[in-house]
Amino acid sequence: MSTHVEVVPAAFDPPTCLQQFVERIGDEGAVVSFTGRARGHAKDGAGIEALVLESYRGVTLSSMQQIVADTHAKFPISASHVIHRAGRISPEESIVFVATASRHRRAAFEAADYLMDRLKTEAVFWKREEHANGSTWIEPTDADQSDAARWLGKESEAICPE
Amino acid sequence: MERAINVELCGKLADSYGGSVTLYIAPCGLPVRELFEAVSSAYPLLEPILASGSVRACVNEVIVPDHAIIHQGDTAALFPPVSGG
Repeated sequence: MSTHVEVVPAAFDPPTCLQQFVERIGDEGAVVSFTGRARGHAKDGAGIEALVLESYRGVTLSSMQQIVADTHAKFPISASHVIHRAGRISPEESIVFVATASRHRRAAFEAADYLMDRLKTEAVFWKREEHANGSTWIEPTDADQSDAARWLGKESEAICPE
Repeated sequence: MERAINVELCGKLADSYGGSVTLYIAPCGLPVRELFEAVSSAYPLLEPILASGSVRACVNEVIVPDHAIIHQGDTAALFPPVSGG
């Protein structure tokens, strides 16, 4: 199992992360990556000046490492790479980068999906949107919770070579 | 002899009093459930959220149950529900 999990305080470059990941996965046949970016508008259409992600000491990283360990236990992937931004993030900057590698594609797709669903609801961050009139704390949405709940009790189906 | 500890406040808990508050604890320590009561008493704007049952205590970077004991010299923090990444 090869993992890399990191919380970074400054902007990062997803293509560079992907290149670093690919360089350490050997001849695996499938690589899936996902990049989450900061939006410039809230759900009600109001402009967002910045997204602020507060982390806490080593607890945030530990929560991410646990999610990654669970992902490797659940899906037949050989490697993963998770970079998460903390601090003040401007619109269009990257918040999170996730990559997974496996022998066949289905496992890599599902593992990346699972990783993101868990990160979106369980990673130890407190998030607020800064806008012209102040700031608003953000909690996981119903959609985030139901996305994460999809995996409860679901066995990996990523064993078929595709 | 009682000693002061700083209890770090995370997320929206920091809105009222900033990022930490000070409490005094005895050499025998303080159970987490009593920490909640002590913080609520000394910093009443935090009482509603602490009473909601949704706040977790973190001691020395480990989230602990209500019966855990906080000792002098520990690093303590209060976590409201996380936002996720």
